[in-house]
Parts: sequence; C-alpha cells; structure tokens
Amino acid sequence: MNNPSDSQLDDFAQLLQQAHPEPPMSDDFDQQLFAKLESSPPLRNVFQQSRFMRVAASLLLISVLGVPAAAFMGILPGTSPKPPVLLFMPAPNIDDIGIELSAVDPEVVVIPPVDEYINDPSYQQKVTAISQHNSFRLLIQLLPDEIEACILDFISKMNKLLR
Amino acid sequence: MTKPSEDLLTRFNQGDAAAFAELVELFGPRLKGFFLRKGVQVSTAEDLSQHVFIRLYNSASRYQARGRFDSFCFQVAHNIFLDHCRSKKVTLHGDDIPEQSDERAQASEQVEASDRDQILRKVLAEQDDETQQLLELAVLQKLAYADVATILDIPVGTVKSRVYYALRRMRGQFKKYEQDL
Repeated sequence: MNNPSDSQLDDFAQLLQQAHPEPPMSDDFDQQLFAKLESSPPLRNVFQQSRFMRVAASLLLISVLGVPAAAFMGILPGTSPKPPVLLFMPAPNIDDIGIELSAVDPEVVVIPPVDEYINDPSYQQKVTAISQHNSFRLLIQLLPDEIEACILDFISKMNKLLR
Repeated sequence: MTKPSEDLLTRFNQGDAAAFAELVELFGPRLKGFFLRKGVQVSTAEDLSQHVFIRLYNSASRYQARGRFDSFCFQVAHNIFLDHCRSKKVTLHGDDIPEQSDERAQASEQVEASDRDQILRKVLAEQDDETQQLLELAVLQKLAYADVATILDIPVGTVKSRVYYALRRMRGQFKKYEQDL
C-alpha cells in the first residue's frame, strides 16, 4: 500500500475539520457568563476595593514567609552570640607568697602546685617552709592556749626582726 | 472579517469591555466544540467554556502577547477539563464515562451531516484518547505544533510524527469505510 503524500494528508485534515463544525452557543450563554463575571470579580479588584482583604493577605503573606525567613537568618554566619573572652591571670610572684602565722584550719584543701612550679627550687623551698610551719602549728595547738599564744607572739616578733 | 484575538485581548486590557464580548463570540463555539468532543454533555460544555472565559478574564492582564492567544486559550481549556475530570473522579478514557456515547451522539445530532462527515467522526472517535487530544489541538483547532507540544507536555517532534501517523492511519480507515458503503 502506498503512503499518502503530505498534500493528501492535508486534504484529509481539512475533511476532518469540515466534519467537525463549531456548534452554536445557547441563547443565554453570554448573559450567564457576564452575570458570573460580575458576581466573581478578579482577585485584583477585590484587593483594590477591600482594605480588610489587603490586611488579611498581608498577614497571611508575612506568616507564610516569616518562618523560612527567620530560619534563614538563623543559619547566617555572624549572627551567633559573641564567644566568651578567655583571659589568663598572671601567676603570682614567688616572693609575694608570705607565711601567715595563723591557726591551721584542718579543712583547708591544699592545692597542688601548678606544673610550672614543680621543678622550681625556690618554690619548693617555700613549700617546705610552709609544710614545716604547718607541722609546728599542729604541734603547738596541742599545748594550752596561753602557752600557744606566747609561742606565737614570740615567733611573730622574731619573724619581724629577721625581715 | 474578525480581528485577531490578540488585538481583542490588548483592547480589553486597555479598558475596552466590548473587546471581551467579541472574544467570547469568537472563541465560544470553538471551546464548546472542544469540550463536546471530550464527551461531556452540552450544558457541561457550555459551563466549562464559561469557566475558561472567567479565567481568561481574571488573568488577561498577565497574558503576554508574544504567543498566540488561541494557544493560550486552549491551554486554559485543557487545564480546566483536567480539573473537571479530577473533580468528577473520571479518567480521560471514554469507556469510564457512562454517558459518553450518548453525549457524543448528542453532539453529532446538533449538526446535520453527510455520510462522509459521519464516517470521519466515527474514525476520529475510534482513536485512542491521546490521539484524539492531539488531533483536536493540532488539526481541528489548528494550533502550531510547538503550542500543542507545550499544552500536552511532549516534544515537538513527537507531535509531528504522531499527527502524521494518526492522519495516515485514519485516512486508511476512512477509505475502507467509504468502500464498505
């Protein structure tokens, strides 16, 4: 069977068009249509005429867009709170550490020396002196109060003289 | 001679209300025929046509005159028919619409036709739904292939080839029916 030429197919297409004429509209089609158009004005007109609709639409828009906008702002760099500033207190001078001739409090927790002073001879001497002093104080605490006061007074005076 | 539909819409956008009435007069019968051939009742076809015009009326300001207005119009009509099918929970297949055969008969009865025209309608009605949609837009409504491709969301080349093979096949069927008469 021979294939039809393009012109033959065009002729057949025209026959198809002729076989499907446009049906007439009903008499009241236009009236119904324009009545519907009047009863359903375009959305644009509704917004132009009604302030309430504009406000409602604005609120809706803000609430819809607000959530993703807030989420987006939250992930932006630079908006996170400032990190705390870290400061280093300078270590006290060894010479400033004095021997306080006060009563020994057994509940005082002795903090071990920081690493930088572990191998410092002068620091170790101070530690040894404090340790000996504490031992001495524990010893004299066993004595009556009057004798303890006399000894402490004597040591304090001697300490002032030595300085 | 009618004025180009694009000019009518431009005039309507410029505030000429009469231009829209001319558009209704120009496209009303085409849209009604479009919907009737989809297999709906006459009243439904006019109702859907009115939906198209209402949508065109509301979106006229957004229409850009770069493309052909009739393509835009039938794009809207196509979408409205799909919405109609979804709302009625029917498919595009004619067998799933109970009153389809009666409606098509009603549409056919509206215009007295010769035997040849009846055969041509029969041949078209025997095609599958995709082919009928394609021929409706490309042949009966004479839309450009590119516009048909856009409406049906298929490549232009596919439109060309499908139209060609559909017309060739239908022409053969038409000749056969004619010989049988």
